[in-house]
Amino acid sequence: MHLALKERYKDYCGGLILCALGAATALQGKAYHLGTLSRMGPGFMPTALGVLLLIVGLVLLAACALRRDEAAPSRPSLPSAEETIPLRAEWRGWLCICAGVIIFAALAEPVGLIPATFAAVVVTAMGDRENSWRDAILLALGMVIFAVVVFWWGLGVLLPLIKGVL
Amino acid sequence: MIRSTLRRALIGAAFGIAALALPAGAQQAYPSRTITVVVPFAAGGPTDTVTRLVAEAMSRDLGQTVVVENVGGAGGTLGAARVAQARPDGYTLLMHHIGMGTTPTLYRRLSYDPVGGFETIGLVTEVPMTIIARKDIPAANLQELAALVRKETTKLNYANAGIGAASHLCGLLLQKAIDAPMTTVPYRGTGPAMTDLIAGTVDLMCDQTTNTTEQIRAGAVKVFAVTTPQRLPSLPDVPTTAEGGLPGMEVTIWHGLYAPKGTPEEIRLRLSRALQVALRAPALIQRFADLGTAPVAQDRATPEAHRAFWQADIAKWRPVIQAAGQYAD
Amino acid sequence: MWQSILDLGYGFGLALEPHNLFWCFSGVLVGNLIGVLPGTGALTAISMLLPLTFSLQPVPAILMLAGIFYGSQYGGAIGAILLNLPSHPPHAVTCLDGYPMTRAGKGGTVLGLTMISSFFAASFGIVVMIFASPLLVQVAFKFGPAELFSIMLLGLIAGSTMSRGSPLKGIAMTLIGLILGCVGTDVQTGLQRFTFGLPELADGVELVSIAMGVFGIADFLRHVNRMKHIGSLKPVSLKDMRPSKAELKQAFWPMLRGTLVGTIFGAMPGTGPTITTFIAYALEQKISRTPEKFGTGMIAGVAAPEAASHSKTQVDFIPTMSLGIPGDAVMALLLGALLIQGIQPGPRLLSEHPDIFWGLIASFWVGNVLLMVLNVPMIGVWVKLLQVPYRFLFPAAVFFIAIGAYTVNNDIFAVYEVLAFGLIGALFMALDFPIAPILLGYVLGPMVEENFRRAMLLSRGHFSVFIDRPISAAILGVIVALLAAQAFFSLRARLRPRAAAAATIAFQE
Repeated sequence: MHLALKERYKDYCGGLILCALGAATALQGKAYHLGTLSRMGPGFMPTALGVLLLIVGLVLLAACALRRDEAAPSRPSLPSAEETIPLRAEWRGWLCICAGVIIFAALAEPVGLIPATFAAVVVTAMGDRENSWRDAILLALGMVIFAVVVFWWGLGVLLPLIKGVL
Repeated sequence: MIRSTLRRALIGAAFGIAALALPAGAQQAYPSRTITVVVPFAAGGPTDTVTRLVAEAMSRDLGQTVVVENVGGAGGTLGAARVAQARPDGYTLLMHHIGMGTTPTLYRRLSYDPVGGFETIGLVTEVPMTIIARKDIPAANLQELAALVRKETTKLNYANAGIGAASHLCGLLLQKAIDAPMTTVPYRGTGPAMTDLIAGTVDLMCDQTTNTTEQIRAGAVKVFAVTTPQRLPSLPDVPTTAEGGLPGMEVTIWHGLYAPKGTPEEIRLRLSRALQVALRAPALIQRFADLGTAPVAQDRATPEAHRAFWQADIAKWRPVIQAAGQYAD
Repeated sequence: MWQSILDLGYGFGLALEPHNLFWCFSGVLVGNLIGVLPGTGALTAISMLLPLTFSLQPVPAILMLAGIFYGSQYGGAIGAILLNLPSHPPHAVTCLDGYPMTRAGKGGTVLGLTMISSFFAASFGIVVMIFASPLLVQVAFKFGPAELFSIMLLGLIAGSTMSRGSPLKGIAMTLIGLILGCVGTDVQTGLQRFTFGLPELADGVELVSIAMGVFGIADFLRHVNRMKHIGSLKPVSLKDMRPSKAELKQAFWPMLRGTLVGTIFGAMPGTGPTITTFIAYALEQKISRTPEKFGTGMIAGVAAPEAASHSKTQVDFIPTMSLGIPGDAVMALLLGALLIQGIQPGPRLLSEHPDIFWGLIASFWVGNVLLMVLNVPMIGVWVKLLQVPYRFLFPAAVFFIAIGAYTVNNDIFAVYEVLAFGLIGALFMALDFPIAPILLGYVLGPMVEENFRRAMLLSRGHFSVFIDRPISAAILGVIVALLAAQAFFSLRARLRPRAAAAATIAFQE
């Protein structure tokens, strides 16, 4: 019962996302020249795909609604947030991984490979609750050495090591 | 490191305050570290190959490593944009092909100035193109081909490698010269286009000799003309377009070396000299010949000759592209 | 034929000269190590190491390049199987069953099976190259736009329902992939679609970024703080790594079918290796007696695509070498490298430079043998990688992914793309959507659209072109049969429980 609820909530969300994506694609696709099936313009394929995705989303939503009637005739109240999310939200891990990637992307060219690697690895590593600052910094130093030796020296990646100095 | 920073500061000062007074000192000092040449196309392509050969030869004269960086994408505009926005210190250069002459017209929205953003250093090479057709096309020479195109017009299929590709430009010029339209069938790159041409699925194409010479010699496709003023040593039996009755129908994939706008003249002249030395090297001439091309004459590997040629090329393509109404964005 | 064998013998003599062997071995070693790094597949490895070969003589240079090529290709499978990180997009589909097997403690076995499949497929591809090149070249010319459209459509229809769970969700993800494939410059008109004014998107979304995002980053987002180690910690002995007889038997037919799929696709220029591996996987699943088990660690789901990927790239050399027309980006790169060495691949290569042609073929095989020799002891080392705690593994991998995405085009934008696809992948995974079909849709979409439009342009708007041409008609027939079978089975499945239930009730009464 509990599981079925979660499942349905997921399909419900998924269906809504698909509908939104499909509609957005179709609308944007219509801005390009459509043409006909025998003389397709650049807008034909995106519009068709958007409409199809919208239909798939709607079918998924309809299946959801139908299943509700079949599986739960008692019509349960809308599921609350706690029971619907499968596992506890892992904000720290998520934020640190995203931040790590962004930091690398933002620092690599303007500041250099060494600081970008170091900062990205430290931040990402701190996403794991078991990593201490010491562990994170040691791991980052290891990766910096690896980055310099393998990517910069070995493979000749054309990023400055530290901008303005090296 | 500190020394080189200091040296660079000094060079900067020298240029800023007394550029004329210290030309010798500045010239000795200029390449004090690695020079990067950006190739706005993927590694392994024709432009990349040309650049790597030239870079190697130039680094011998400059006494510093010249590395090639491939920044491909968006028809070469991504790499060009990076160089246009780079510091004009002579350490970031651009090698680009005929696209420099067509980009100003083909692209209407660019993040950089495709003409004013660059200084010229020198021309490098001109790769000729060939007009080829499927091997069973009912025409024996260029005149017959032109007559066939005028008769069949859009029943004939002209393959190209996408908007803005040299094969596209050559096709536009060909249709203008013959004064009859064909059905243009774009492909993603010349490889699949060539496959369909050999298979007879499409009728006509233009492509650079690097790609076509082997197919021509093997008889897989029929050749009608080379798009240069003179015949080629590698294909001596093939007439030029002028000989075949289409004067003015000349296209080459020319390559040139550029620096960002504002690069001091001393540095540009130093680079131009290194380029001329590189283009004289017998090893490079041999490698170019293997690729079916040759370095330009020494007096064309100069900033002035390059700029004049480039300006003329922009002027040449503008009406052609505008008449076709095909843009790349 | 005898001449071929004699020439081949000469080629082997050349390839086995000690200094040539040395360069081939260094290529294999370096290529393999680079290939393992997430994000740096064969394309990156070759383009980065290309300058190294310029200073060598042609023969050692080509041997080294072939070594790098095979090494990095095989290396890509290692990341996919052990870490769910497809360094090279064709291996993305290997993740689906390879990674679950690793989680179940069978990482070494899978690597062993992969190696056997790759070696078998590459050897088969080399034999095809020697004896059937002219035939396959003819096949290449038979596939015009109409045929390519039909076969890509077949791949799309077979592949979109390949994943586990609801077929509807699989189709939805395929559609999203197809839409992603529309991003970039339209080949026919030059119009930029869905680029939102970003020049970085003019050539479309980067395939490597999608693969690394939806598999690598998305997987880390899902498992951070929820996993201590990948797989079990118990020490693995060499015996455990050797696939058992039963496992080898299970892998044999999928391996053979995968090899054939790869060979057929290798003959069609322009069909990338990613398409090939996905179709090999889809085929296995379609004909399997237990299709629902795919995605939980089926040996067939690893052996078939890996074999397909290796025979495909091997056979890809046929159009590259005998026509001078590169089949994909990696082939274009190798073609460029050969040109720099003064070798012009093309129709006359075999007649004018038989030494180079046969030396090259021999070196391919030597490269594969060296790869095998190198990797038997290496499997143990790779599996040890799994003993690194997850808390150290994922930050390092995130960094590798970031720099790997950058090196594809020396463009920071690709790094942001990886992150975006990681988030999208994690979101859809959390909602129980399969993510592999995104990749399938992405690689097939442009092929389907472009070839359809090209075929219609060439036929001047007549649909009959798809039926008039026999190969295209036959493939379309297969599609219709496939759809009919699908409809029949799903209808029967829906009716059967009721019938069964009715029967039970009747029996009880």
